[in-house]
Amino acid sequence: MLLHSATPATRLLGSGGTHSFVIPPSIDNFVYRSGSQSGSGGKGDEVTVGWSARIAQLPRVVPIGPHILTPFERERSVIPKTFLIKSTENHPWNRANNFFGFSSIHRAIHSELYFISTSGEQYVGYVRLPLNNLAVSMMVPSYMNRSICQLSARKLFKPASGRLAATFRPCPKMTYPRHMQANWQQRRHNTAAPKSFYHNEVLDRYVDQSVNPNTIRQLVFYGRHMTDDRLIDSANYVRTEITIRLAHRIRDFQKLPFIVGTNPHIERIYRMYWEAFEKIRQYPAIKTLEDNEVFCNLLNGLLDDGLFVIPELAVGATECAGFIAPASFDRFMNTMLRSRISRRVIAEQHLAITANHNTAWDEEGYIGIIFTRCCAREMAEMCVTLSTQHILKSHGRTVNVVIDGSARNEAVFAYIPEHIEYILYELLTNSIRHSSECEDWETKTVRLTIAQNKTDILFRVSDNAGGIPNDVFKTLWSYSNAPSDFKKFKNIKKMGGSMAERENRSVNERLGFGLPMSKVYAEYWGGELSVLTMDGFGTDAYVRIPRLGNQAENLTLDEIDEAEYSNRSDTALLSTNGYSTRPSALVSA
Amino acid sequence: MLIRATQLCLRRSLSTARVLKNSNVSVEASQNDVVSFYDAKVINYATRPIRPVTLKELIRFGQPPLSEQSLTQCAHYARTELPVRLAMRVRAFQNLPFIVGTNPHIKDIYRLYFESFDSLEKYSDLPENDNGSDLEFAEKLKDLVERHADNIPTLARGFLECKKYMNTKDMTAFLDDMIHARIGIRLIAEQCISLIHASKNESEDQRRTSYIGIINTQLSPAKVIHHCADFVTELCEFNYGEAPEFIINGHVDTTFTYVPVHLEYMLTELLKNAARATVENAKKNNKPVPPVEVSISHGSRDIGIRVRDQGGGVKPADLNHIFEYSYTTVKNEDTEDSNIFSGITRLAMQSGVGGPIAGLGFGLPLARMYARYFGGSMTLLSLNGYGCDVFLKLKHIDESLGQLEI
Repeated sequence: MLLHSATPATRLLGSGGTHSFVIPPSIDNFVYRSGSQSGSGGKGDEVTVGWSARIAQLPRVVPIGPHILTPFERERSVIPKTFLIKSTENHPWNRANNFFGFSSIHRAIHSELYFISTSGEQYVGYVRLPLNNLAVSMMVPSYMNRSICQLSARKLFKPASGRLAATFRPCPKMTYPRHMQANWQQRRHNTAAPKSFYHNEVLDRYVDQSVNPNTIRQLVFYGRHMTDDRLIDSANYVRTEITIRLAHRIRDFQKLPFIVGTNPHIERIYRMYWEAFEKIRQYPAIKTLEDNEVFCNLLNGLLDDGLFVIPELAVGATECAGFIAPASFDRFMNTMLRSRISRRVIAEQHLAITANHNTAWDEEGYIGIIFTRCCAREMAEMCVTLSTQHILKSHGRTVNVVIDGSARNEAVFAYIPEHIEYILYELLTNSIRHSSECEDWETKTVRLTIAQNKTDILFRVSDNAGGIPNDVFKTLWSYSNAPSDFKKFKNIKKMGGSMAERENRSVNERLGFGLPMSKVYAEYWGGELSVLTMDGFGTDAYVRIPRLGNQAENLTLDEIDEAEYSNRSDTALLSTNGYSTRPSALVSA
Repeated sequence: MLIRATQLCLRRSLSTARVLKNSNVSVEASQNDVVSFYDAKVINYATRPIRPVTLKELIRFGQPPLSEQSLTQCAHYARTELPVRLAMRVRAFQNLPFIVGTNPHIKDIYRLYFESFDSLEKYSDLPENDNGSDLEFAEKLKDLVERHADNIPTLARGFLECKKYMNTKDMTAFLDDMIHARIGIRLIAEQCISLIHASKNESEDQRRTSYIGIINTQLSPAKVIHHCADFVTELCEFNYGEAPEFIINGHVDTTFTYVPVHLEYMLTELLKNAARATVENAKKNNKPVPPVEVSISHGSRDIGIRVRDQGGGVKPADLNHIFEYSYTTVKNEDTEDSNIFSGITRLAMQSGVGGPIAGLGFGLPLARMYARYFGGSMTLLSLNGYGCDVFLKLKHIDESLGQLEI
């Protein structure tokens, strides 16, 4: 959107004029009584809505244009006007935080398009008003890098009652991602997002290059005998590989339906990715160890930024639920998360081996982030302890967990322990939590069985906590059914994917992403995760982890296409294996 | 292509049949030919449309109080419907490759189907209210059901021998159709028989008031599991000398509406597999035989039965094929070491529900077909190196399946 200081709009187009609405009187400078509609509603351009005229009189409301119409608007021949609100330093709301309840506005006003986007420009929020519809979301003061109040849009549009129609409430503070923080001024004219359609050519060069998936063995072998030269080679490999992988993901974003891409959360992640892409792309080749140090700082910064991705995507997912088929969105999310793990793996691996090389201290058995002496039983025991403690804290009680199975303590293999721990922790907390919530929780037991054979390590978490009802089971692996009360996401600024970060999270924050994420982790190095349930009795989750380290990173999904997916009536297999069509070494149905 | 060719044959044979019928000439057929090429009867019936009956109706036919009217309706339906379905089965056999059709086992079954069709065909044209012939019809049906009891093992043997003459896809399609149709035919037949007998012998079956024909409205999974487990234990002890303990837990008191024969078959199959795997695995590792755990759950939409064993699991290479026909992980009989008991045990294995304990490769696909018949499912999870879990989900046969056509 380009910014112009055009003349303030004096008119707003409105619809036939059956609605009127009020902005609450308690808000300074933004109080409007409802204007009754002029009777001449029918004419398309001339209806003035009382409050809009008032808004137009506000010195700080600046309409901007010209506009790029969304297909929605084009279709309906709507010409929107956009207003930017500047707010003053003294405004009492400068501490409030949050976004408009986008989708609730959408619902309340019968399918017209609205969105709020944070532009990174001088004025952070702007509202875009389709003009032949009366319902308009509230303009809220927002400035610089801070707050936007949350509106309860449903209350906003009481038809013609003349009463208080909106409530404002300040929302908890949220820290913006780095690119929106204090130094945004410098970024005002950044190249973060392609200014035009044609800038995208830069991306094409990288999308055309293919990704090189690694195996654990390769990483271990490379990291074993580290020399300066090897370290520098590794740094350059990381640089090029991350660029290519990021480029592929940005392309995926670009393939989303337009309306999904305009969602503020999705858009923020998109911009973040572009920024990261540009930064890394333009980074010069690394030639010395000092270069490597600087590069590692950059990597660290990028990893930190990346911590915001998952909650943002989660909010975006719930908001976009109506605009994209769940299967497509799930596929998108799976690819995103897979790629995210892959970039983190190579980045963290490089950082770890740099650290080891510098300090010349070798933690026993670790090569970077890969532990060559993973023991299934030890990891399981640790996860059991952690998860029982977690549930004890949140529910005040916990159930017995029994570990059995045939794995001997000496069975070791090379793997990234955090991955397995994430999965086990997730499955165990689910089982323990559901068991604790039963009335006869004292009699419930959760059983963790460990098994092994030449090629795999197998875990089975089995509980008798009553099973999963059919309607929940059908959407077990879907990202579109995260808890609808997405306030919780906003409280969670960062979400890491590792155990350490999860421990720090408050016990009552649940994201609803645990199972799909566990599946992505399990399948990352060629493993599997299946869940089966007996409604009324209990649930079993099965994990297979390849132990030879010779499976390449699973970066793309062999997925069934849309039509086949919707025709699948075999819900048993679907819910166990999700979207994958690889021949399974775990399930047959 | 096969279909094209047979369509051509059909047309030719129809026209020739018309000619020949008039001239009363029949081609000399050797004694071994089952049906004359020119006999149009089968084709007549096979080309009639099937009138599927819904499960709801089938239950309604037999719901107490049994009235004359619903019985005659049921009998009439069976009389007109069964010949059509049998004829279609015969046609299906006729579409098999020639060499497969000459295999003695397969030919036997083919002949059986043809004769059954033949004998029932004359009842199909009788008027609806012919009560006298109903009883006769029921007797005939009963006889036929008994004769067809061993169809599947015989077919299984036949197809095992013909493996190299037929590609897997065609064979699977044929067998799937065959078994699916067979289940339907038997269902209609046995329902009809038991209703007719029930109406004649009202006073007898007091204890079976929960039965509507062959459907039991108060079927207890736990009882069936006990029964099958006992049977399998005996078989196992006879074959191996020891058997695993069967632990049954979960909602043991639950009951639901289902066809007991189907459930018995499936459970016997699964328990046999579990027991065999457990004992063989224990013997291989010189360990005590671990128990097999069977859990029952009663959910809002279906009944779940989970059979959990520690029999070493299924190898990934085999996992994708376990539900294929004629795929078996049991070594060929000829290569087994013969010992003094092998003859006896082989015989023992032949008897019992559904046939031998293992080795023909039909058990699991058949069990899965039974499970899926009323909208259920069978899923196998293998922890290779440890054991297997098999989940059997069966829908309640009730109003919700009202539209299911059989």
